[in-house]
Order: sequence, then C-alpha cells, then structure tokens
Amino acid sequence: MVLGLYFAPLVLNGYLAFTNWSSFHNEVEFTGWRNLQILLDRSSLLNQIGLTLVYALTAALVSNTMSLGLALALERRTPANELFRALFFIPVLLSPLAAGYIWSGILAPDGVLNQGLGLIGLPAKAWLADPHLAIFLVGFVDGWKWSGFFTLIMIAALATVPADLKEAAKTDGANGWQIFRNVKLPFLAPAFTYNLTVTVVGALSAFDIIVAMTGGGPGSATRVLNALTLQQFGQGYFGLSSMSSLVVTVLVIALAIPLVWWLRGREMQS
Amino acid sequence: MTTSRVNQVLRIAILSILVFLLVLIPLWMVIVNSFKTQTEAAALGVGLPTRWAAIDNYVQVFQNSNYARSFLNSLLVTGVSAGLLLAIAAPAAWAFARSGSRALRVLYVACLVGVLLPLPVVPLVFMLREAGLQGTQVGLVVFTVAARVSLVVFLLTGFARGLPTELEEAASVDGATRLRTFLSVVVPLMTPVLFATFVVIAVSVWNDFYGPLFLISDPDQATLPLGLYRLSSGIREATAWNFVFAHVVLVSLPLILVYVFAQRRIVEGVTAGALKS
Repeated sequence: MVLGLYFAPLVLNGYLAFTNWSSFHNEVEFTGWRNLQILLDRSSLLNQIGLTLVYALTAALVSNTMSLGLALALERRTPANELFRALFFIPVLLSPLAAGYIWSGILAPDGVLNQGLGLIGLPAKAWLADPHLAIFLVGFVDGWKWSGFFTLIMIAALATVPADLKEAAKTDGANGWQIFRNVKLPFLAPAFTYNLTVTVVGALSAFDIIVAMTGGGPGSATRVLNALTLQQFGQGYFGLSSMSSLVVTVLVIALAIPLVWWLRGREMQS
Repeated sequence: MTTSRVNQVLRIAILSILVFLLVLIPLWMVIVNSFKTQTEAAALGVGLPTRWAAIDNYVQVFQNSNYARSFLNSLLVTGVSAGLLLAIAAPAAWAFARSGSRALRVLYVACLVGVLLPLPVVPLVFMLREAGLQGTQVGLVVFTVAARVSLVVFLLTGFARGLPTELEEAASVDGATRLRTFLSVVVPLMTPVLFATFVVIAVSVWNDFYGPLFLISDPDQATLPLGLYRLSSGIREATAWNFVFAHVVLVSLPLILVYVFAQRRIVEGVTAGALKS
C-alpha cells in the first residue's frame, strides 16, 4: 500500500538518530569520542547532566503533586469546580517562553514575590541570582505551566473509578485517606504513567523557560543540556552540538524507557 | 452536616487562594504592567497605572516585533503542520490498528520509541540546509511534522483500535476500495478525536520556540514566540517590562481567545488521548 510513504518521516527520524556522527566539523570527519571528551573537559558535561536531571525531577514533582491535589479537590463537576479547572488551565496555553518572562518578572529583585514577602515582613531575596536556587525555580515554573493539563488528565482518571466501589468503601466505614489510597489511587496509575513520562521526557529537552528566565545563568547554574546544544550550534560547533543532543537522547533512553516500564508494571499489579 | 459544610468552605477558600497566587496575580501583573510607562513598569507593582501608556506600548510592540507578519507566519505554520500531521497519522493509525502484518508491528514499535526520543535537531537542520529549506517556513513545517508524527500516530492508533469493524466489513462487502472505506467510513468515525488532536497539536506548534530558533533567522519568516524572544531578550536588560509584557499578552492572547470559545472540546481533546492508549 501507498501507506508506506507516510512512514518516511518516521523512518527518517529513527535513521537520523544514528547519523549524528556525520556532521562533525564542517568537513564532516569521523572523530570518534573526541566530541564527548571535549564536552566533558571544557563544558563540564557531567554538571549539565546533573542540572538537567534536577530540573526534570523538580518539574515532575511540582506538576504531579499540584495536579493530584487539584484533581482530588476538583473531582466533582460543579459550576465552581469548572471555573477553577478553567482558570488553572490558562498557564498550559501560554508559550513556555512567555511563562518564563512572566516568572522572571515575579521573581525579579523588586518583583511581585518580594513585594508580597515585604508585606508580611519577610526579607527580599534576589531569587534567580542564587546559583543554588535558580535551577529549582526554573523547574518549578515548568511544573507550574503543566499542572492544569495534568489536573484534567487525573480528573478523567478519577472518573473511571466505579461509583459502587466508592459507595461500598464508604458503607464499610473507610475514611478519606483509605478511600484515596485503596480505591482511587489504583485507578490513577495510568494518569501517573502518562504525566510522569510526559514531564520527564519534556523536561530532559527543556529549554524555553530557562532561556527566558535566566539565559542559563547565573554563571552556568541553569545551563541544561539543550541550552548547551544551542550554544554550541550557535558558535558553529555542529559536531559538539550533535553530541550534546545525543546525550539527551541517551538520557531519555536510560531514564524514560525504564520509567515507563516500571510504571506500566505497577499499573498491572493494582 | 456542619463539618462537611466547613470542609466545603475551606476547600473553596484554599482553591481561591491558590488560583490567586498561581494564576490571577501573575496574569494581572503582566496585563497591568503592559499598560504602564517604562519607568513605572520597572517597579513591577500590581497597582493600577498612574499614567496610562497602553496604546503607546501596544502600538510600539506591534510595529517593532513585526507582529502582523509573525502572526500570519504562526498561523500558516501551525495550520499546515497540524493538517499534515493528521493527514499522515490518521491513515497510518488505521493501518496499525487493523493490520496484523509483522512489518507494520515493527514500524509501530519504532513509532512508540519515537514518541519518547527527542528529535536529533542538528542532523535535521543539516538535511534541511542540504535541501535548501533552512530558514524557510517549508523547512519549519517539515521539522515540526517530523518532531511530532510519532506522538500523533500513537494517540490516534489507540483510538482507532477501539473503532467497531462491522461498518468497514460491510463497506468492503459492497466492493468499496480501501481508500474509499477509509474516507467514507473511518474518517467520519474518527472526526471527534481528529479535531481534539488537531487542537492539542496546534497549541504545541503555536508555542514552539526550539524549532524556529534553530531554523529561522530572517525576521520576516519568524513565528510569534521567536519574535517575542528577539524583542524581549534585547530589552529585558533595560527592564522595559512594559514592552516585554505587552508582547507576552499579544503572543498569548490568540490561544486564550480560542480556548474561551472551544474550551469543552479542548478539554476533551487533552484527556482523550492520554488514558486510552
């Protein structure tokens, strides 16, 4: 069938992943592991891998806890809940870049957060200028942006809990926590699989929010792998750029695929 | 009775505080500061402007960022990419769902892997350059489609598997060709999920910044997020928050307006794919 034609981009996609090596320097020479060595030596690659992981973890933690809380609070379909759902969904629509600019305004030294802290008598802080804090803050904004989206997915998952199961648990005298743990949580498993996978995969190639908020700084405290890819690309080191994006790919293979496997396995059990 | 009532009030109160802190105050800060003069916006206050500079700010941003042009570019790239993605993925999904052939099963697994793996940007940029498409919108569309095709195929296959086969069998008994069956039986059944997927892809393509950043250098070809970056990365240092925020509003408004009008369908769309597959 002519359908084969439709898979061309797909095959191309898979093929390209293994031809990363072909774009070394401008005359395209095979230089083996030299690029990796250069990145390790000059750009503290390990540090950037660490930052990328911290970012992904923060984003996943923030968005999943926030959306779980919101989903449980907004589970029932009432007019007030519909309004809350709609409002919490707005950040999902913002471009990550715009979200980054918004939060860099909030976290600016004379920004809204510090003004608010001043009102309740707490000291101001140059949030994004703190090299230890910055990576968590940009990760938080990533999580914030996606919470509304994951909330809807968790609500949809909660709707799959059979009503008589909840009733039965209630008549058996189960308290709120027991109902959540034993009745609702198993049905939330597919939603967690989806949400965690999406955040971790997305956050490993994160970039936009960081560019808008810190530009990779202070120093290189938020320079995640994709920022490195762009930096090398911008300077014309296409080989190095390829290598750093290959590292992202390897990270995804090493992390996301086992993660999906593990989560799917847990789904089966419950 | 009373405790559940207290709980109810408490729940609404906590939610309201959260919505204020996490959504309304940030949005308000952006909007109100986009109405202020540069000096006043530099203070990043949340009070009303003492001197309104709304028209001035927006006119300036509109002109300096080449907004009308970027808007059309974004619309074109988003529409064409999302349309192409569906045109590619819908038949593919149907084939995956119906055929038991080993070759297709291998391709489907390849597709699943493609969902997780990020697109290797650099080789693709090189290929587009070789093809003379770098810096053009055609190139950006190719990039966008390649980056998302596996995900869309994956989402639609999950849905196509759940479609009843009786109608298709009836059609083939009546002597309809595969193409005919697909167009007049399968596509109508898939319409709701196709629409929903279209919306979800459109949001992600509209907001995409990574692709354009690598591919587009000519300001006339820029999409909205790229325009926002170009304008804002330059003037943020000078704390021209009024312009940055006016641009944020101009870039975000189109999607928010669409959301207001198509809210229900968008919500159905984002949830449908996630749990079925």
